[in-house]
Amino acid sequence: MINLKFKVNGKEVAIKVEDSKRLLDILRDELGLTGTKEGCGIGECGACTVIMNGDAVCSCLILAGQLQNAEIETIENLERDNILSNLQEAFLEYGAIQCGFCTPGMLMSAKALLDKNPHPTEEEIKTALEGNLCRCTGYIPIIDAVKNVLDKY
Amino acid sequence: MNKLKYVGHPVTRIDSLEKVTGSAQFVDDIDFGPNLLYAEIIESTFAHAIIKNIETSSAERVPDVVKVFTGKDFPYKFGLYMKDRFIFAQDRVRFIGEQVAAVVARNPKAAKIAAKLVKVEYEPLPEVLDQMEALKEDSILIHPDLGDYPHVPWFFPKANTNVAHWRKTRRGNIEKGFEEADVILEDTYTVPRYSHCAIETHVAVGKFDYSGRLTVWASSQSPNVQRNLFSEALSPLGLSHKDIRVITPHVGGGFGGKAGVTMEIMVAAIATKLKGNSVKIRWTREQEFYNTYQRLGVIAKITLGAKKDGTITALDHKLYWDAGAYVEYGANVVNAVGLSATGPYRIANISIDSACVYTNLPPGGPYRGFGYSEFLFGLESHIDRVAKKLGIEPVLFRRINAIKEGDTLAYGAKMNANGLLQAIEKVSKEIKWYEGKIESEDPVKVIGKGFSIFWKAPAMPPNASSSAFLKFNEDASINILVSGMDIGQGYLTVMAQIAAEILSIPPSRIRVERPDTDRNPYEWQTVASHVTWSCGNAVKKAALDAREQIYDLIERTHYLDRDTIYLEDEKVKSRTKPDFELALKDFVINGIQVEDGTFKGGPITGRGTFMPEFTSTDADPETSQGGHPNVHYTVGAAAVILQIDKETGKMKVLKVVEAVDAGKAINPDLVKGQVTGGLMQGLATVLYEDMRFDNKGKMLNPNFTDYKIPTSMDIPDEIVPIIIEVPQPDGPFGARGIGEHTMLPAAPMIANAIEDALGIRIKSMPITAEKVALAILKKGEK
Amino acid sequence: MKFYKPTSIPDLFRISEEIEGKKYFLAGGTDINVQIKNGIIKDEPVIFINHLNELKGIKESEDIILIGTLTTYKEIIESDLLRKVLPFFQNSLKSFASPILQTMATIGGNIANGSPTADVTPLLLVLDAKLKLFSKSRIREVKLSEFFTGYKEFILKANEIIGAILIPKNAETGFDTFFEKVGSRKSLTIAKLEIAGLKRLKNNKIEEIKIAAGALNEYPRRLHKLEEFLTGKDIDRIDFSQVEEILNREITPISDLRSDKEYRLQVSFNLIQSFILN
Repeated sequence: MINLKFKVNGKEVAIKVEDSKRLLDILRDELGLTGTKEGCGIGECGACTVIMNGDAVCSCLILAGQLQNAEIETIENLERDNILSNLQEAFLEYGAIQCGFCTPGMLMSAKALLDKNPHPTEEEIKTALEGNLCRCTGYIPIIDAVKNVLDKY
Repeated sequence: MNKLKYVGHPVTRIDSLEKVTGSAQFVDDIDFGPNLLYAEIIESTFAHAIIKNIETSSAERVPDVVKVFTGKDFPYKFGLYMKDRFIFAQDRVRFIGEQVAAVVARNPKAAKIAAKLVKVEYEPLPEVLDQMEALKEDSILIHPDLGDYPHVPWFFPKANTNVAHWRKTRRGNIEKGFEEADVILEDTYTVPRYSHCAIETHVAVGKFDYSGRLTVWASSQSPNVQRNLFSEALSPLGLSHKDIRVITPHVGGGFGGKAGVTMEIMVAAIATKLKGNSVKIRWTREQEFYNTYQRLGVIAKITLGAKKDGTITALDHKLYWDAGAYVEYGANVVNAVGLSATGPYRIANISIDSACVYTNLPPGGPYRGFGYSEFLFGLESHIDRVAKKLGIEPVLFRRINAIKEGDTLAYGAKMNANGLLQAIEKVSKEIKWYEGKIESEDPVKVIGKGFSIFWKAPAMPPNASSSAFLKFNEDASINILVSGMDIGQGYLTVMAQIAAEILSIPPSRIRVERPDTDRNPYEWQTVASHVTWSCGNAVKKAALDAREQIYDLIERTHYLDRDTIYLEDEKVKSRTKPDFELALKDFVINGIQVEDGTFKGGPITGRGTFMPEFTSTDADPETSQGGHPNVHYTVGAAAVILQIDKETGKMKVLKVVEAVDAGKAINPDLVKGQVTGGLMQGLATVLYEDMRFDNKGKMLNPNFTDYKIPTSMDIPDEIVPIIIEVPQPDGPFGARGIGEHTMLPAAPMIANAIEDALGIRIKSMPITAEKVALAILKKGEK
Repeated sequence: MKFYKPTSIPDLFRISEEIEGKKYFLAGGTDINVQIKNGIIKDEPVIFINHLNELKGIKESEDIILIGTLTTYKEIIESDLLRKVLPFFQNSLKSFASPILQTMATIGGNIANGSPTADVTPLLLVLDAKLKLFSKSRIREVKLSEFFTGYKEFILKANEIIGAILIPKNAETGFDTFFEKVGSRKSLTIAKLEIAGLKRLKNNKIEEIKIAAGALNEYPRRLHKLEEFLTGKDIDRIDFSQVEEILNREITPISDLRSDKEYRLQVSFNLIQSFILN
């Protein structure tokens, strides 16, 4: 067991967990943040994507022991004061959602990209999303949504 | 008809806010509290074996283990169309991964540790992994008791064989048809198994409370089928339908894989033995691959005859299906194809045999397309080849034989209104079909074009039905209760649009609730691309029912002739009295006060049910003539421009065009979403996905590392969706389903494009880079 | 399962030597964490090393680029220094896994995992890379080409780790470069085969050529016999049937889940031919 201190969505979190507990399970089971999903558990589907220290990562592949002092951002952090982020609005507008299970991970990969590169090319968008599998949409509406997010998101 | 205000418009999905904020709850997201128990499943390690003994005592001694269950605890059969499955294996196992026992513990870790301690003693039997082997007379029997299994009346199992069902369709005179032909081509096409790959795996939680009520939360497309099958299977425990409640929250993709009942039966059964606790099973990605349903594999032998003028005179289509260890659902795939394997063609002389064969591989079951993708791969490949033999341009050949409204179908009924010729024309134009070959600028690459047409009918029991409740609230907002599932296609939004149109209330003021069998009325299940049509009719009727009640009330309180009043912008208005206007919110719950101070009316609640009352499966088993098994067919056409790298065999889709006849696109954006997503799924089956088993029947790639589905990097350069609208007379606003259909043409059009580019015909799926590169090599050697 | 978190490199070796038997060093975790989840690693101790900053980063000396073992692929792909000095190496790695894995996966972890399909190894082989191996009492340098001894086997001793990867700064200079990874889809895919190559022509003759193959043998390796055969040849007068013959002796592909032997032979020949001619 370790005493883990890290930040989730801007708030300090201090918990005692097993070293081998996955970030995904910490978020879902300990912190009740169930927006982050598990699709494969081995980093091949991206449903569990969150942002860690500014980069998109698979939360199923990060253990508590790797988390000390990290800053984590999850899907629950995108909407603020009842206002959707422009990225979320773009997903609505472009029909980038079907079943919605890959959506949180997809949004976090897209956000990590836009945080660093607000005007990505189509190729950069595809590359940023390549680790996030979607079986419903055929990706095109998702890529269109990210391409058309307004400057402020 | 008046101008439509909501139907036919791209209304934003009504569930999208939940989905972009992470608040949409899937089964695994629901908090079941500290008493939740976890079940770990012990799986068969043999494809075919007798269970000699199961030793559970050491597992039971592991701390935090509550109980271990085996087949002995639940000696009950279940199944949708044929009762051939057990909740846990009884005396024998029939595929690797089959559930043999379950360890239930207070935490997943203890369950896992204990599961490893359950010792199962097997006596291996020879396994049959190939349908042609299983068909042989001397093959070992996978279900020796097949003759005793209960099944629907339209199945014809052959006792003492591995044939679970054999659908025969005969029309005209097949010998005469071939005699009339100038060209006859015979060949065999092979399609392997596929996996649905919804990103959410199956999850189910069951709770049996102290009052004897069973609640199951399931990631399912079929809440009512679940309740029905739980009730049937568990009836020895005294459970009736009213005691069982199935709740289906958001579901993370279905594609047929979450239809019917698979692993959920285990939580339902286990829960009944652990009163007061909730029990959860969450399938891993591996289990999702080998112990839900897989798409059936098929070997199809096609003989097609045609005259010089291009008329098809005869089709003999024999399909042998690798249906897996249990076919309670999958046999209906075989049945559906046996009735429709002519494809969308007018053919006078037909012989179809569609054989459902047991094998010791995972159970075959429903998968988007329900058998049509599988037979169209062979048939649409074959059509191109016959055209070439006749010297007729392949799209022209399709036009000559394309089925039209009123033409006779294989089983004798008449074809419905459809826009097949329109679809062919629009696709040819958009893909510039007649503008010749495209030369590649890169000498290493070649470019080819391929075409395919398609059709599909919903495969349903003749009495499959839908129903809907519609409730007005005080502010004239509406809650609609239905039991179809939004599995991503946008069904809830479409239902809202239909009610919105009838009642002139914007969809944003309507909530359509996900199923809860206690609360929502009956729906057969969300499969067969039928809910827009069937449940859409039910919702429309419920809205009309509510509207009639409103008109009644206005008539008797305001003395206005009902023919002169109408609804607009949440108000009742009159054509004859322009100053009359009454807001719905002023009376839909509390009624209308009349002169004497009393109130008339009361809560407005609409009810609608729909069952296609013209269908029947009563037909001659030798010919399938006499019944009317299918409600209607949806048709379409598609074409592709494909680039092939001659060095590596790698392929890239430069452009795809697909036209589908939606009858009426209730929500054109959602239809286009289905085209893009469906095409991608179809392209994946032909270009990427490659399921492998070893020679003992073990699946070798049950993971996304080696079973590859496309990523954002693999999309075609351009996809052009085209919507055709030839109305379905009995559909809501003329609509019919299109969800499954969008993936149907993908595989054959790729095969046809490869032949166009390289002169090489590939007759087995998937068409990987390996197959193409080696075929190029082989061709070069000749 | 016991976890350790050393505070420094000396502490790492102290802990490591105290543990007898099998142990795992957890760098990025993209592989080990899956093995933990799948129960492949059950009771063996795991030592976290990802936080040891001394093992991270890309540095240059006069003639060498040093890449710390814990440098992530993301850092490599985004490095300004590599963009300037080893652009071919950097560009070729952009197809590695996916961005959400590039963030975590480390170059040292990838090599130490020993997979015959590791994307980076054929590239490093043609760049004549060396490995710096650290243990408690010594640091030694070995050629990467001498590091592997068999399928997932290498010369690392007990309690020894890969500390850094060393690449000559001029490794790419003056060469035509080639890198092709053939997978079942465009991204996040395990290679069916990989070919990396460097060549330098003079008057149409091959002055120097380096070719390495991944996923075609038990471990990635240079194709020295083929290189030898090609050196000095006029590229318009190469007998490609001989190239094919030598290649077929030098690679030993298998048929497995991911591809077929015949395909791997054929496509690696096609790729090498196009590398030589273009």
